Amino acid sequence: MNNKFDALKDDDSGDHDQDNGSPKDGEKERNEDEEKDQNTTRRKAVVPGAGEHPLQYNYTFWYSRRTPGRPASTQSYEQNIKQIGSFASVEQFWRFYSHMIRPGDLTGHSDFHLFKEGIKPMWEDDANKSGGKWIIRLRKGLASRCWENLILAMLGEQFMVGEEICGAVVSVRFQEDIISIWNKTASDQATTARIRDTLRRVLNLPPNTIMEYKTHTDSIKAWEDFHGLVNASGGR
Amino acid sequence: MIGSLIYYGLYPLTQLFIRLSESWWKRHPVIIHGKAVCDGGARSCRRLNEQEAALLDEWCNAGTEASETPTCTQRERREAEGLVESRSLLEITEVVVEQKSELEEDKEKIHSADLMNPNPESVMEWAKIQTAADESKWKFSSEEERQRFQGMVTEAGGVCPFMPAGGFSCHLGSYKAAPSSTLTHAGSDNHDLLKSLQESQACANGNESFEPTADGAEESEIDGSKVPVQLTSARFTTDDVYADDLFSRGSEAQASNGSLVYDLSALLADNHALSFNHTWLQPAPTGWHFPMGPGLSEVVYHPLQFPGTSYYQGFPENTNFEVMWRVWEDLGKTSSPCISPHTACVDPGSKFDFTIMSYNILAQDLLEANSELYAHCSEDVLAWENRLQNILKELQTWEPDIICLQEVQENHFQEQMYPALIEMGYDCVYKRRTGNKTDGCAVCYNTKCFTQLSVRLLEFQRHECELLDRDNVGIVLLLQPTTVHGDDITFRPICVANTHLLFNPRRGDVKLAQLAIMLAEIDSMVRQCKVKGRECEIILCGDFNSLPNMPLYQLIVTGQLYYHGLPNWMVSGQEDLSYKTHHRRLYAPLWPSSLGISDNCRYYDIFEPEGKESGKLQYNHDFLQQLRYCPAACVRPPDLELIPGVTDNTPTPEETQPFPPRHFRNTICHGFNLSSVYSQNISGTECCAVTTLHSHGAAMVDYIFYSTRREHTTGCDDKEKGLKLLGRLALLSEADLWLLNGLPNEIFPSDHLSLLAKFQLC
Repeated sequence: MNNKFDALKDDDSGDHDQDNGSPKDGEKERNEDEEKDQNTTRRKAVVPGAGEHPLQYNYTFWYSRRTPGRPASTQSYEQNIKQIGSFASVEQFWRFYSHMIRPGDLTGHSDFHLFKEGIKPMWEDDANKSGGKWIIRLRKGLASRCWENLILAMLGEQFMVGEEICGAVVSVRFQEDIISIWNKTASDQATTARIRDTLRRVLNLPPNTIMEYKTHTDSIKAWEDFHGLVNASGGR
Repeated sequence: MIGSLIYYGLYPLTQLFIRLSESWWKRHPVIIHGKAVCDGGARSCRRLNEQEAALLDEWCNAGTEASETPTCTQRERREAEGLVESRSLLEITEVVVEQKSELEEDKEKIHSADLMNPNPESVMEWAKIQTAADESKWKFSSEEERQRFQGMVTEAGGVCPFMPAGGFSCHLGSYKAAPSSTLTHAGSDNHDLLKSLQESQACANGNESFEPTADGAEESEIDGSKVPVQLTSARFTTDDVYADDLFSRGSEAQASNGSLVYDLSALLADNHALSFNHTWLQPAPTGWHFPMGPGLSEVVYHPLQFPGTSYYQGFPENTNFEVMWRVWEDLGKTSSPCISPHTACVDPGSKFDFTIMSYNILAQDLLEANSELYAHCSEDVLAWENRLQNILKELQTWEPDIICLQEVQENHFQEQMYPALIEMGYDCVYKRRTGNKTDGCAVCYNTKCFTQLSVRLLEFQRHECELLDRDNVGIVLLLQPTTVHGDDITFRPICVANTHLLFNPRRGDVKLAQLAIMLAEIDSMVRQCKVKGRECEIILCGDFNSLPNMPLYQLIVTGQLYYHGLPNWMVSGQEDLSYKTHHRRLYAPLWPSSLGISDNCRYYDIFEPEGKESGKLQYNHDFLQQLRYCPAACVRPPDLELIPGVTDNTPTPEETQPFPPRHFRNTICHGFNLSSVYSQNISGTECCAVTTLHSHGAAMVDYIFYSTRREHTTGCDDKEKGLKLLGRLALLSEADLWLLNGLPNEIFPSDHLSLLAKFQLC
């Protein structure tokens, strides 16, 4: 595994091994119950250190990567997703962030997820099941900066939509990168509009950038349809 | 047969005449035909072109009673052609001979006339011949004529600065374009008409040319056009340089709005040069010496007599002549119903016209501290009291509705300028530079036209920031145009920003950071306006210490600048330091995030209190970034699993470029559409306009930028609100200014020229 990573290290063009599987790049696949346990039980509650700047919410970093060499449909989401760590203050955030590779420098078919502590980056999570996400597709080279701007705005409570924000994802793909921000209530148009406007502002996006909102229900349906066709057994 | 008879009969006569005329010249070593001068020993003669010769023929055949004859011309013509076979020309020669004695009589008459001329005899004698050679319409007797001429000059260049096109004294371009050598005093609009009028009149009016004057306006126009020729001749010397210079510009003829601005004397010299186009023999231009200092006014006030009646009315004797050195360029394509330059006015079409001036007036303390820059100036020119008077005079002349001043010394402002400006109906905002600097910026606005909505006094000095350690300042002002009609029409407010950026040519980084603060403040002002549901227009002016089309300028007018690796000196382009082996270059970030200004020259979002959710722990981007490399943030979290290629990064506080230089990174931008009132070149020429000049150089560093629509607006309807540039006060070239002995001089009190623009707000 290490060798594979090393070999890909200098190549930030995304995964070029195989990217023929999932219907929608950058979307989450379903988790499995046992993964919940693995990813939650060993965490202790994080608190801001003395003199640190507390955040409104605690957040958790996640990382996922599709294992090269295996068809996407045969890999379980939970097999590929990893918790990196949780934080409660600005300083703790930087502590993690600074030791992580920038998304633009990631190799392969990889994602970083930053979700509020307790919310899993999965469609089925209670916080997400009636939610949706704004998707922005970026040409290569923009992801690092956009991701940083996005999560700083989220951590700093710049979206001004109350409790609506669940988390954010950056997905590194072969020819493009995708960033998305998830919220709880897909049907709340005022909220989604506000999120969109804030995104435009904080990301400093080129004017012609296309932004797309997608409900998780639709994502699940698309995923099921796709895998129903490709793999009758519905395997992950 | 008849031809040879005539030849043998007339040839001796001609020879006699030549001898006579030569002896006459020797006795009167003056200018002939306005082309030659004797003070330098040079002499040249002008030959008539075919058209003129034809006109002359007609005139002669008509049996003119004119008292002068084109002696010189005829003689030359003969020399050039050898044998003259034209019957009409022979007749002319006869007339010439016959009138020889009359010539002497006329000379005496003129001598007796009291013309207040410093050299009346020579000038008049020249004038007589000149007159005959041209359409012989001169009369040189009355003092009234001189006054009319002055009136014309003033009307063209000074008293009525909004007159379309360049006006009499200045429209070099259109003059050059004219096939005729004759100058017209009117703008190019009239030029063609005048030419044709002149040609016809040259025939029609030949006979009455020396009658004490036909009164038609058309004739007077023609007469007016001759005046410069006379003056030129009267002032001739043997300095070739400037005449050549002007002559070379002749090919760049342009009409109408692109009026090249010249002072009167320059134009005179130019006319002289132009006249050589029509000579058969090309005599070496004898050139022309610019009268320095007080001599200038002598030229203008030269008590020559001018023929005919003037189209223009006389003007008061005490009118300033300073303003004539620069000319108003009317840029409004569609005619504006509002012509008055001096006061903002509102016309029924809901348009608000106003003028704005940007002027670096050169602080006296800086003048004295950098006296080597002004070694070319006399003490009188540099004396503050004299300069103050000239500055105030200039302000009074133009009466801008908004004045943006730089290098205003605090004590001078408080004690002298402010009281004077209050008296003139202005209210002022002043901001002194920080540190121990004694000068600063001021914005003054006519209280009849504007009310102040908001003001911000900016200091670019940030103690916490090494980059921003300079003392420059700026002012951002939100002005509401007030309408005469009351409240029925409300115009958009105008955000007026005035600044004087750092001079240091090597510190482009500082200039950019200072400009960014300026732009962020303007943006903040604009946003503050938007919160109240109002759009506002922007005028950004001042001394930017940067040349046109260099990166800093580009940032302003194009809205963005890719700066990665740009040498520091190149930002402003004031000096070419490319010869140096090592350049400091620009790399991200251009300014520290603690400045609170983003790459798009805006303040990071600071949420309005009403939008804030109570109890939320909000942090803006800038704040979060500040903590990025704090000690607590650099420790590797103990529970962070080491995943190669994912979590094996090492934070490096030194890293100035958290992102590789690609795409929109390393670019700064702003969201305004700004255009410069002035272009790099003087209109219609390839001559660089300058706004400042001293002994170390000349350049354009002052600007007025204004907000424009993306699409070019041709009219003013409700959908296309905004600023429309109606006109500007033309700048001068470096050569022009050196002819005035550089800057400052007796005309212009600062080492910068004032910039003046007229806008229409729809």
